[in-house]
Parts: sequence; structure tokens; C-alpha cells
Amino acid sequence: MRVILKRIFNAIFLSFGISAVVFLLLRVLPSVSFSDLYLNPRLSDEAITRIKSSYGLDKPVLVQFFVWIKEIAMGNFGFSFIYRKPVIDCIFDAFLSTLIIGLPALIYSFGLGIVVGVQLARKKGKAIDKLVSSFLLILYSIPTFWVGIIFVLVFSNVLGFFPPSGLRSFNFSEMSFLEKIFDLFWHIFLPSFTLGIAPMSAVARFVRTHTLKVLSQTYVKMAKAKGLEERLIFYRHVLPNALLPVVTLFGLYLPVFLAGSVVVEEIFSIPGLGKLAIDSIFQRDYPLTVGITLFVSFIVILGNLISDILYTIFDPRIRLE
Amino acid sequence: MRVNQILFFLVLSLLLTLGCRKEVKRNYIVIGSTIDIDSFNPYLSTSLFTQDILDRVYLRLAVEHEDYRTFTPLLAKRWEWSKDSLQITFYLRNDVYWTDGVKTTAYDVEYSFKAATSPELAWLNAEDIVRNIEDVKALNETTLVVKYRYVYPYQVMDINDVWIIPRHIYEKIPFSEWRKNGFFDHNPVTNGPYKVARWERGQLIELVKNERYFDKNYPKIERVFVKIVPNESNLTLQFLNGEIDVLPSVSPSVAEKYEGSKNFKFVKYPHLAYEYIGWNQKNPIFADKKVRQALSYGINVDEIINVILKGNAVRSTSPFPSTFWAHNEKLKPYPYDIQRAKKLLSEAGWRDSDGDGILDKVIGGKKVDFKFTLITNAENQTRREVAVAIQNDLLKLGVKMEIQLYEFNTFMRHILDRNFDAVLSGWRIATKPDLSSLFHTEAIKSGHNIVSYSNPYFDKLNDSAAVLNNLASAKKIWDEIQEILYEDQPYTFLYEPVRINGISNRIKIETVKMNSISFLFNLHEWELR
Repeated sequence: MRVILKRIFNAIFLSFGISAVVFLLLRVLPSVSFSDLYLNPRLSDEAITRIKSSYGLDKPVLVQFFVWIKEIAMGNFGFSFIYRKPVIDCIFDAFLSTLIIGLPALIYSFGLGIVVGVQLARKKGKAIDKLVSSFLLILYSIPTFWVGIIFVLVFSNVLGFFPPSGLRSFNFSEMSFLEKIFDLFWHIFLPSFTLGIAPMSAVARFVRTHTLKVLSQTYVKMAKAKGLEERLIFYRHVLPNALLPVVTLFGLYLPVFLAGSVVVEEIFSIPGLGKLAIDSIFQRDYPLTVGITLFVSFIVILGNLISDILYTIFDPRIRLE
Repeated sequence: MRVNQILFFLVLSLLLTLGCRKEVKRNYIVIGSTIDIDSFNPYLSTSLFTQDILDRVYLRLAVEHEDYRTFTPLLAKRWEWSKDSLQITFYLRNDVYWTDGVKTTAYDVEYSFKAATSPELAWLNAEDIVRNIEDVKALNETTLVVKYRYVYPYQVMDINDVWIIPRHIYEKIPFSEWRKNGFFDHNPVTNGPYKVARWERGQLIELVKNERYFDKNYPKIERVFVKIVPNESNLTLQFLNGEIDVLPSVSPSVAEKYEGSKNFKFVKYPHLAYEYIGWNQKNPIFADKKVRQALSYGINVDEIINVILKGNAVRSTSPFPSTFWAHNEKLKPYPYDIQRAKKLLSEAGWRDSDGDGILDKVIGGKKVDFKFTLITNAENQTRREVAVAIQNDLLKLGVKMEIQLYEFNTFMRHILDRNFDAVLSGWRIATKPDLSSLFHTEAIKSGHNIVSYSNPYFDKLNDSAAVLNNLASAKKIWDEIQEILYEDQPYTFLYEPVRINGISNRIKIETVKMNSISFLFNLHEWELR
């Protein structure tokens, strides 16, 4: 327990360090915030300076840095220029949308990935294995932005099964509770599916390889020699050992689902963390960019920690020290 | 067996769910957009799209028309000029109410003027209003007096630029706090034909009929959604599919491909904007007028328009677009003429002395090649293509041009620092003719004279024309000014893009007016078929 606490403590410091670097880097970059103001040829420099000072951007970088630290201490994480509210509120709202897409994607990509991987390992060398394995490789290789837009074209535009974008129907507020639930699932299907495709194929191929590795171990041969039933060997002795490395993969992929995907959120118009991050960067909303960096780096570090903890649970030989 | 069962249930549930989807009667229209609006507080918005939407929910004193000179009554029933023209008295309608039931009065306008000119708020468009309008005073609920500092042609236009906001709501928060306050974005109180029913950031805006609107005949379409889809391909697919009824700013290639569809039409109109190449005269290569003229002769703009823009643009000859009243019609675009360009370059001392195919010249005792870098912003696909076309054209003259693409904010930084050789960019023009911010000598240091152009005669003429009250005589000076710029070519004026909007046939096209003021110019008059 103490080890875990220590790790979380470290995680906080590490992500803070990362965002401090991002904070300073953003300000030395040769660019301007509120660049759209400069497009107005009639706007005087004076007016631009006034606008900047109202956001505190005219102060020296070091002063801005300390103001930012103060904001963090107050739990606001700074104040977003474009949304006119505390950064923490923006992140929280966006994180909810990201979760709605990310969690189902997480569940299906690992669930389906493991099932497919294991089945492929059992049918090693058969035509179906070769076919599905290569198909998985293709799925893993095609870029998400392409898959996403093809899905919209096929499932929404041609077949009309799913809505092409957004999280809710126009008449969401007039629906009954059950209809709302359904409407939500109906909307998140395509984005979740798109988001989970690459991880799913990665997990499936990973599981297949590891199951095969375990299958070739001597203790499996020993069990077979003892005359144990094939199914029993597979599910009791092979699977637990084969799935152990998946835990690492879980830790690695957690941020993919929880930190928001820029591509998927852009295609399907999901107001999540990825979209928020991109908007904040393009509009040079410094506090928001840094806030998101802080949050995302924390999630990444947390993902690692979770996979380490899971390891100790699944593999009694390993201890967190 | 088990797999089959699972599959069966999956298909069954899918069919069931698809079956119980309620088909909503479509008595509404959906406007698509890749971007969201900034705010419902008009004084905090920067984007044109935000203005398009806000003009549907807030009333101005008058309606500005496409010629930028005609104004028809809206909130003001009529207005009277004082004898010396330094004062206009506006008589407001007595039957306009805010959505919360409070009456819209002249006191709201008076307060709005205070907001517009407040230095703490630092409104984007405050400059002209602060400079030109002395005071706005409400005499009673319906009478408003506007005092000007001097007489000039755009007096109605300036006061009409002031957004009228509900004093009783906005007063609660001091001007200095506005930029940090999201308060105005929740349930905005408005007085236009539409009111805001919902705003889900990054998702949708719902506008519904304002029951309190003074003209009970409008709006004809009672419910309007703005659907925000950041991905352009997805947005276009939804328009082609009929999910979206209005698609602003369609790319020329999409419009060309789907022209003639029976489900939608494309509406085209000139945009008050132009694209140009700015030659930074701080670079000694471009300091010579002959070189700039040669480059203008050496770029095949007609081909750019035909191939890249599929004909959806007009040649530009001056900083005033061809539909603008101050435009000089006598100017003909620089023709594509390689021989003339080469001749001008050799007159300016550029020749290929070392035979490497690139022109050179001895400047300051050193031999320099005619090489430079053109910068533009990476997000703009059209500009990227145009840059490459220009690169090819100039190579035929023996001029080597590199292209450097920057992300928008970085691009702006380079322009503001005058840190470039040549820039491919565009201006959206203000509705008043004044070129001082672009080409005046005084604007080199701090304004938008990014190419550091300086011509004392131009300065003098521009200063006199900008304040001239008689538009007919002002036009004569503007014509001369444009001739000077045409001769000097501080920019190579490329083209004025044509804006293309898609509109579904569900909407009666004859009721729709789209123009350079807004693509939703008369949204409240649109009717469904």
C-alpha cells in the first residue's frame, strides 16, 4: 500500500514537471495567441495590447508561471481563454465525453481481442488462422482517420444504421429514460468501434503469439502426457499464463482510450479531450493546453501504475517494491 | 452453436433498436458548420461565423444591405439628421421585447455604446466607433441621439455596428470581468426573430422562434439547428445525404462534382475578400517597382483560377473587391506575359550571368541569385496549391522560389515581425474604404503594412479620401489611389474568391438571400417547401 501511495505521489510530481516544461515551451514558441485579432487590419496595436493584458499575457513569463502555480494550488488549473471558465471544468466536461466513447472501446477491444487471439492460437496453422491473422494485421495497419470516414460512409450514409456524428439526437431532451440510453448507445457505436479497432487487432495478435508460446512449454506437454483433457489444459493451465502479458498491454493502451483520440473525436464530432487539446493548441489557449497536458500525463503514468498493480495480483511471484 | 445464438441475438437486438427509432417530423432545418461559435456575448466574438449566428438573435438599429450603403429600419423605425449632419436622432420601435419580457429601449443602446467603447472590454471593432462617435444618449425609451465628432460618409454604418445588448442583464457584471465570465453564454437574453434554446459546445446550437418578436409573421421556419461537425468530409457526407440542409463554404471541387443534383443547389456569390502575394520591400530584391511588376506579369492567375478554383473566382486588381462601390473598374488585371516580365527584369538589372538558369544581379558588390521564400499557412489547401503553381510560373522567368508552410499562429508571428520575403495570404475587406492600415507609411512599424510599402503621394491621397463626405468625389480619389497601387504593385493581387454555399431543396430557394454580409442574411424569411 505504501508503495502505491509513493508511486501516486511520484506520478503527481512527474506530470506537474511535464506540464511545467510544456508551459514554458509554449511561451517561447514563435507564435501569437489570438491570431484572429491580427486579421482585422483596422485593429490598432494598442487595442491588441489591451486585450492581451486582460488575459495576463503581457506579464513576464516567470510571473505568468507563478500565477499558474497559484491557480493549480487553488484547484482551478488556470482559466481558459476560449471557454471563459476554469480549465478544470473544461477538462472534466471533455473527459466525460471521452469516457463515454473510450470505455466501451476499451472493453470490446480487450474482450474481443482476447477471445479472437485465443481461438486463433487453438486453430494454429489452419486456413481460418491464416486468414484472420492477416486480416487483423490489415486492421492494425490502416489509419484511423480513414477507417472512421469509411465507416461513416458505409454505416451511416449508405446503410443508414447509425448517426454520422455527435453524441445525442436533436430531440434527446424529449426522450424517455430508456430511449435516452438507447440513443446514447446508438450514437457511440461507430466512434467506439473505430477507436477500438487498432488496439483490438493488436491485442488479438499479441494474445495469439503468447498463447502459442505457452502451448509449446514443457509443462503443457507434461500435462498432455499425463492424459489431461485438452480443454482443461487449455483453460486452466495455458490461458492464465498466456494472458499475463496482456496486463502490460492494458496499461499501455489505457491512455489511448482515456486521454481522448484527436482523430476519432474530430471525425465523429465528440467534444472530448482530444478535440479540446487540438482546439486549445490551435487557438493558443495556453492555460488549457497545459492543463490537458497535466491531466493526460497523469493518466499515462496512472495507466502504468495500474498495470503494475494488476501484475502483482495476477502473478504472485511479482511484488511491488 | 453458441456463436450462432449470440449472433442471432445481436442481429435481433439491432433490428429491434433500428425499428423503434422514432422518426421526427422535419419541420426544422439543420445548418452545418465545422466550427462552433465563440460566445453569445457579441462583444467577445471574433469569428465571422459567430456574427452570422448572433445577427439572427440580436436586433441592430437598421439592416445593412449588400451594397454597404443602404440601411432599412429594424429596431429604429426611422432616423433624422441634424442640420449640420453632426447628429442623428433614431426613433425606436415601441414593441420590441427581450426574451425575458423586458422592453428593449434606447437606454439599452446607450449602455451598449458604453460597452462597445469601453477600454477595459477592448472590443475588437471599437476603433472606428471610438474615433468617430462622440456620444450616444437616450432621451427617453424610444428616442436616441447619436453625436459625431465630424461629418463623414459612414455615420449610420458605425452606430449600426454597435451590438445592442440587454442592459438589465449585462449591467450585473463590470466590463473588466466580461472576458473572464461565461455567464453570458447561459440562456442568452436576446430580441431577434430567433432565440437560443440550447447551446451544447462543439455539438449543436438550437434556435427557435422568438414568440415575443415584434413581427408575428416571422420567422417562417420555427426551429433551426446548427450542427457542428469538425471533420469536413463527414460534414459534406451529411449534406449529400440530406441530414444537413445548409452547408456553408463548400470547396470548388465538391461543388463541381455534385452540381446538378436534384436534392440541393449551390449558391455562389462574391466574397468581399481577395488573395494576394505581398512582396516584402525590406528585402532588396523586391524594393524595385519593375521587379514587382515583372512578377505580376509572370504569374498565370487565370490558369490558377481555372484549374485550382474551377473558375470560382474573379481576377483582383486592387485592394477593393470588384463588387465594392469604391472599386476602380478601369483597371485591367495584369495579363500573363512572360516576354514583358523578362524584359522588365532585365531592365532592373537581373540577368543570368553564370548560366545556371537562375537570374542574378550584383547588389552591394555581391552577386545574388533571384531566390526567395514564399510563406503561407499550412491549413489552407487552396493556398498550398496556388503556391506551387506560382513556383512553377516563376521558374520560367529564372526566379527560384521556395515554399514554406507554417501553422497559422506561427505564420501570423512571421508576418507581424515582417520576417519573410514574400507572403501568400488574403484580406477580408472592411466595409469602409480606408487603405491606411495596409499601405500607409505610418503603418510600417505598427500597423498592417507588412510589405513596408511607402509612397508619400499615396499617403496624402488616402488621408484626404478617407474623410471625404461626398462619396462621388471620394470615389474619384479612390480611383486614383488604386491606379497608384496598380502601378506600384506592393502586392500582386491574385483573385477574389467566390463563396459557394450548399442549400437543400427542402428550402424554397426563392425565399433565400445569401450575400457577402452573411450567408444567413434573411434566415427568418426562409420557407420550407
